[in-house]
Amino acid sequence: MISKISFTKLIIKDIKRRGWLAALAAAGLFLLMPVYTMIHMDSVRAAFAYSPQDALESLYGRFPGLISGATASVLHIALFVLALTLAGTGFHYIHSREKLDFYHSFPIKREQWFCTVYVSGLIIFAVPYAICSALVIAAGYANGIADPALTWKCITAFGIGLLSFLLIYHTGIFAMLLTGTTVTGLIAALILSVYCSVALNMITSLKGVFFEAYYPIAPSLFEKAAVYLSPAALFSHLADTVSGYPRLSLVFAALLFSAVFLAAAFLLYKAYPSEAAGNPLSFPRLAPVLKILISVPASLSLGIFINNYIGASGTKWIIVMGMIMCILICCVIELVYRLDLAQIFRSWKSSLLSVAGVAVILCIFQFDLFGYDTWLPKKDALETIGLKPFSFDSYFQYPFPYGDSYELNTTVPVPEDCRDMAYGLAHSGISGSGDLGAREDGSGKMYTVFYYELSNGCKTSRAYSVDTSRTAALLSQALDDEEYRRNLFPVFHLDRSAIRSLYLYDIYGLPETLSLSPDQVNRLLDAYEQDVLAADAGTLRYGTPLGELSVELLDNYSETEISSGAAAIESVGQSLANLSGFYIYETYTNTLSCLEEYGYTLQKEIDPEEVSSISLYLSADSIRKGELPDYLPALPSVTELPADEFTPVLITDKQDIRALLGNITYGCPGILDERNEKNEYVEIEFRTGYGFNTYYLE
Amino acid sequence: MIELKELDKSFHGIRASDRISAVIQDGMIFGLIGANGAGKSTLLRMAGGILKPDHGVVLVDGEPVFENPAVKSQICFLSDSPYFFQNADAVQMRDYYAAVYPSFDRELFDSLTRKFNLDPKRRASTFSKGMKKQLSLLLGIASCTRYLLCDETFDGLDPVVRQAVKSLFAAEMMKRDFTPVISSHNLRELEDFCDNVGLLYNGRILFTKDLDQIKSGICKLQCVIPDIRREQQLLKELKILKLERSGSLLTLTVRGGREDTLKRAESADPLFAEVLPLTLEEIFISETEVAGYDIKDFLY
Repeated sequence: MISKISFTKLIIKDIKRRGWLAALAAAGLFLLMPVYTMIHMDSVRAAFAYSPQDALESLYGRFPGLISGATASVLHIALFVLALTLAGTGFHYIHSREKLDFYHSFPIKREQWFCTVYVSGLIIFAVPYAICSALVIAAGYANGIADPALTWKCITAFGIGLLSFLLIYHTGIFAMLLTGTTVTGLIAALILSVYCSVALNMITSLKGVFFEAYYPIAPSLFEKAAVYLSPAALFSHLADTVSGYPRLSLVFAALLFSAVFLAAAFLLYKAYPSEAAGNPLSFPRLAPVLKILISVPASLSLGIFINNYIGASGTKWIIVMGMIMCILICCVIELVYRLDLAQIFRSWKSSLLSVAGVAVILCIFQFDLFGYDTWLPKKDALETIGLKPFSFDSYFQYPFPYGDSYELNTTVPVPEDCRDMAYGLAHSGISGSGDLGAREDGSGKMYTVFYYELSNGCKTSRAYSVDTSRTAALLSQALDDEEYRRNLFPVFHLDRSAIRSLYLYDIYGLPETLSLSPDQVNRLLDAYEQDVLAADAGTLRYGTPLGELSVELLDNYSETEISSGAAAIESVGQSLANLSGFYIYETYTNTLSCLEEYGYTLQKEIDPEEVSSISLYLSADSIRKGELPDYLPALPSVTELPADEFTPVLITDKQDIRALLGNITYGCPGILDERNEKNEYVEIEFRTGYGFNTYYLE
Repeated sequence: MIELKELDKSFHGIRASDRISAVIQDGMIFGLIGANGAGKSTLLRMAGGILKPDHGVVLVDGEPVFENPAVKSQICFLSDSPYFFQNADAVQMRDYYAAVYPSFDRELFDSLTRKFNLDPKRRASTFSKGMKKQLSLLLGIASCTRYLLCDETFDGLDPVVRQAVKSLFAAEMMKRDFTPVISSHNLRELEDFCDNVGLLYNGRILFTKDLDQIKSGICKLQCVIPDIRREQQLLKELKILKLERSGSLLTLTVRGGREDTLKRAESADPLFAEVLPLTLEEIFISETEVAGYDIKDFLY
């Protein structure tokens, strides 16, 4: 029997056999970790030269990511490549009959061979990785960045990096054992890494393309699962958290995947048929099954991709391209299996099944066989119903980070007494769905997202074109409810402690910083809240604002990019975000008097003398007609119209400016986007510079 | 003793071994002969515990070989295309074999490489095909296992080296419990070398026999008997495997001892009679024809 000492000897010999890779891994990790860390620290210091404290904070936040790869993308890629390379070089011998005979003729059990190669690969990576991680931490201490808390985070980041490596390493080993050649092994590793993500995201993509009512306001189950069910997605998301503490669910999923792939690889190794060496697959009976499993989602995904790439409208080309891609992919798979172009149609039955599978899926979506577009929950199964007309996106700005839950946070359930009305509106939308362009052509329809929360806890959404007047009536009734207003208006979601500055805009659109104490800010916002609660629906729909407030507040979610020298760095942590659209109407007396009290008065008219030019953007309709709209005053200086609606007419003539100023109004869309019916607007350049406002024409 | 019991093995629907049963006795040189594709390598790989039979079992002293390190430590398998690590020299290969075979004799290996004039520091990948086979053989011999399975290892060796290896095998067999099993498609190569032979054809083993026993039990008789009646009487008395007539000259392949056959021929009052030994090749042609196989095509 082989003793334990022999096992150690075997591991050492295997590491020696792959000495070139051990050297490459050590050198690469050294360059990408301690050396890169030193360069990076210098770059950040240079980028934040004006504020060393900010540099320190930025580095502190990013430091664990320099070990896990979260803030060092090259290291992150290197971990992936190293894991696959180690799996490939470790187990590629099973793809050669000579090598397999050589190894398996020795008096060593297969499980011991597996463990030997597995452990040696792990050592080749883990030892230099651990040493380089320690050097990174040491560099942090030497530069006054690291402390015991950060060290602990770095150790956690080391664990995450190791787990990320293991995830791909095990996937690679499993792929090598599923196949009989190194090329197919690598292809299998890549397919295994992304398969579930591609397949699940494909379903989401198909829904988006085929279903008119599809409008996700939160990640679907498929999208959520896609993160957890493929090694590449897990690998990517594990490192996403720069703090060094990733989501535990991701860690568990990664651990589970690693364990499952390792166990599967171990069992496969024991059963690995020696005759598989040199064949594309180690278990040829799986070939048709794998072909179908690969070709169906791949062809559908490619069909959607090509459709988007060529900018085709409708679903016709997805169907055509999906079928063509399926045939092509089946041929490519057969080519990989057989390496003989003459035999690509050999297994035609499985190819036919693949094409049939694609056809069935496309039929389901094309003819909406499960009634996705026409689905409406039963009234008694509804817990809440919310709606969000498309216009809300241009009227409101919320202090929520854009991301998975943004839509969910900004879709507010209607009060209970409006539920029937909302339900009826949704019902009316089902028959009208498919008429999505209606919201733009002034036909009295409005694209509106409905959000349903069912009594069983499920949440889902649909989007329809619904009657604008019915939506307005529903909104008017809902706005009577104070809680609804509080949920709907962004001012009630502000974290006042995060506010760093307040700006005031009037008709000029030039920001004026409000120099207020925290108490004054609170009083102003209290007054604004009172006014919002008291505002009538008509004002919110059609009212012309006198101005607006804008808030600058700390944003814990945003990421900015700073470039300094050779190093491009993503600065993550706290940065400042601007929220505008806190409109002040004439009826907002509390706000206006508060501003008055603080010494800020809103200008209601623009002095023509202060205007140097006006850019007039005409609608496509006016340009087609080749004349200025009737409602505008005569503008003698305008002799020629632009070629398209994106090029403005520049007016510098004093008389024309004066005339045009009489026709402009504050550029606020109104809560249902009903104010700018003419689709024409102007921008004004003042002698002091451009204002931030756009203006509608009356 | 290696026992092959009812071994079946198929690759992609092709049956490489078809219910093979045989016994390889210890202390003898066993030759496994057969045409290309007869299943020699498959059989040796199963005997060496590399391949798992689809059916049946390989036993060494009653113990199964597959996934049994204790048994496999008594067997060294030398592939028809030897593998050496990338950039490894003979010394590195020696060290690797020494790590996996507890009985590996480094001194023996070093002395053999000197005798065979193999540069121990030269990369094995730069060796010629014959030198690689020599190195493989030396590693196998120095492993000091009871069984050495050589898969076409002698093909590609020059006559001098082949003779030297035969002497080495003989010396090792004198020294210790050593049983080489040699597969080849070249019958002449094994003729003066093997004690026992097994013939494989299309995945089946036709027979395994002691070579001397085969040779003593079969002979070739050439004679001219003028009396037709006596000639017919002789033909009835002899167990003839094959008969060829060229004019009045009869050439008979006869089962039986040489002396007895000659005595019977002389009793028929021939003009000329002599008994000749058969080459291994002729024996197998005769035997396989008797067994119903027309193997002339693949033997030549």
